[in-house]
Amino acid sequence: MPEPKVIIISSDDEKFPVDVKVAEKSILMKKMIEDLNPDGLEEDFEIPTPNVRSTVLAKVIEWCTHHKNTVFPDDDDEDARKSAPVDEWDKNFLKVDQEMLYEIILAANYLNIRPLMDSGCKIVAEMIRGKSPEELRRTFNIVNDFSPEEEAAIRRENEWAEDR
Amino acid sequence: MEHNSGPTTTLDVLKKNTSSSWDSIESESNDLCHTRSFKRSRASFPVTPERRPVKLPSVKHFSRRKRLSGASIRLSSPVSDLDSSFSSSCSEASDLDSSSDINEFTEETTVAPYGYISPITPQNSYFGEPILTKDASWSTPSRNGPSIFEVPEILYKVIEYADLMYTKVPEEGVPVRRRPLSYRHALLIYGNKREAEKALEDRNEQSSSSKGVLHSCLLVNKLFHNITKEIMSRKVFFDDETRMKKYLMYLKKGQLSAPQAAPSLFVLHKLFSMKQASVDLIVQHMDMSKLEWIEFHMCPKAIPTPEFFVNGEKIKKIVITGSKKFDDSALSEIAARCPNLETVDVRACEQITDSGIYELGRRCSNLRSVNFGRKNRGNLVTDASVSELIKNNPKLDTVGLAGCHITDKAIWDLAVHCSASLQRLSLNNCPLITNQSIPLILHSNYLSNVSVLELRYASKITNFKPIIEFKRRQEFKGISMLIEVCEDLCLKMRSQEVQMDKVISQRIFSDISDFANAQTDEDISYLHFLQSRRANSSSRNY
Repeated sequence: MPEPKVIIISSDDEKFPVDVKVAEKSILMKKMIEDLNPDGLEEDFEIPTPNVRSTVLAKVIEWCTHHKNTVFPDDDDEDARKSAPVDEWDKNFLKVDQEMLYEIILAANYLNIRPLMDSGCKIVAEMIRGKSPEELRRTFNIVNDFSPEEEAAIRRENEWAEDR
Repeated sequence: MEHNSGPTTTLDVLKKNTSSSWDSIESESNDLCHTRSFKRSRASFPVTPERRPVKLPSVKHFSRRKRLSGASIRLSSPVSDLDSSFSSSCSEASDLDSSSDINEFTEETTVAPYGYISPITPQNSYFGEPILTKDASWSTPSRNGPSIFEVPEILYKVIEYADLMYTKVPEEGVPVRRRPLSYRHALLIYGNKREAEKALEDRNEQSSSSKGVLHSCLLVNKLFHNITKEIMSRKVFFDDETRMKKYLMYLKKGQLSAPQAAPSLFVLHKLFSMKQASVDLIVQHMDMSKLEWIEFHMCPKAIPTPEFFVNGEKIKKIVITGSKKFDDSALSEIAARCPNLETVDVRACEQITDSGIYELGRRCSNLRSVNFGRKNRGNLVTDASVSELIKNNPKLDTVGLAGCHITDKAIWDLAVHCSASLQRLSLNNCPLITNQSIPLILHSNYLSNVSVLELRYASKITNFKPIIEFKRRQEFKGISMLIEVCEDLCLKMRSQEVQMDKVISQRIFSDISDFANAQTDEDISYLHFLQSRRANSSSRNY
């Protein structure tokens, strides 16, 4: 009998059968598999991801498959994890349009795939550099919820922090 | 199905366990999300009118959602009410994770735990989303849900990374190679005119500070503002007196007092005229219990007050350089309160003498990097304290003793106790160092990991042969070795090197000539061998 698979179902009902090892890159799915199959997986196991589209899910699974044997820095070692540069493969993998990148990050956040989340956030952080607040709003499509007075006050209050 | 019982039990447990604060966070973020997504959808309509016809009527979505939730019912529990079971299965998914995983949460996730995911559960984010066919291009913007910039925990990570990558704490860069002291010196070091000129030019170059990443984030919107503020408060640093004054002004007005900053880093860089009163004022408004790194670089009129050391065990790095006020009693106090110090740099603090350094060496045994370099009053730092410190700190990798009146004894102590760990050693202007230490030590192959050795104006050193040999050995091992010397020593070292090369080339030459002119050597037997082979093959041919 073939190894039982984990079948991940996207929001648009597409089914992605993957190895347990691949699915376990997601802590959420790992815990689900463990908690609901305390004696190990005996038959195929379906996990719906009702807020991840199939195109995004396909990308996320591609990442999990590529990294299925990667050992990531310990969660306890915060500094090493945070200061590590983005993995070269991840960098190329995440060369997608902004919308896709955001969706991958959201999916990684939802599925609790920390290394993917880290890579994604680092890439977005790189996009922040050298932009004015107005440019940031435009680039990321963010609504300014400050009143002009509030904005002016914050500007005044933080003059000392212009070099930050 | 097999997993009927599992989720309901975990859910029950969780329901009991959920604290009130958790609920408040969740409902808060829900509120936040509703208002945001409303604004966002309003804002995005005019931008994407051409996509509207693609959208299916919302009724259809509803059915799709029900279909979806039906799928998860099968998985979780046989409840008849579709909508309620849907939401419970969703929260179960996120709760499940947060419960079994709670110890994995770091600071940021405990502030905003998985409950934050609720804004992007399908009910909110995919309501009214156009259904895409499988092969729809990724470039088609398709979502109407919250962007990542509306999910606090994601935004927190993004800004945190931006801070880590781009916020430059004023720090005196460690020069890969010190600038040459004169053109002739540069020529001696680099060997050719062009590079020498370039090295001299570089010293006039000042790196310009780029515009701050965090400052821009402060002004984007309220969520950005709050998160950035928190991240910013972890690092307090100033290298500009007018900025510092502005900061003090707002402190005085009480405008910044609201959330008390608890920095892990407090760096003041080259604030020559800043007074002690300014530091005292800042201390009043800050929680110093999280400090790990304190730096007063070239701030001659101020020193850290005792409040800085309330939680001294955490402090790893103290840099107080060029201070006229920093004295032995202050250093002893620090040594007593901060047993886990790894870096102590008190360069050009001429009030510091043997007694302070002795106390430091006695109390701290985890030091990696120390610097007591000074221009004046070098006679106040001697073997008496330095040897003691070295004996108690075998993990030292960087030692700066420029200008100190230490003798060969201290260097030998260093060689014996820190032989494997030491990487950088500065003995510039150490007038008592002779051929009895460095040349001899290097010849005996102690300090085998040293890669930077500074010997400017160590005028009693005349024996360069072991030093050059050491350098070549290190380079052979793959350690690129840097020996900094002044012009005078550089000249001597160069001529020594030339002499050594001469000896070597002479030896090579004599070896070759011996070989070429030798009467009896392997050549003859080789000739015999060739002849016999030729004879053999010819005999076989016939």
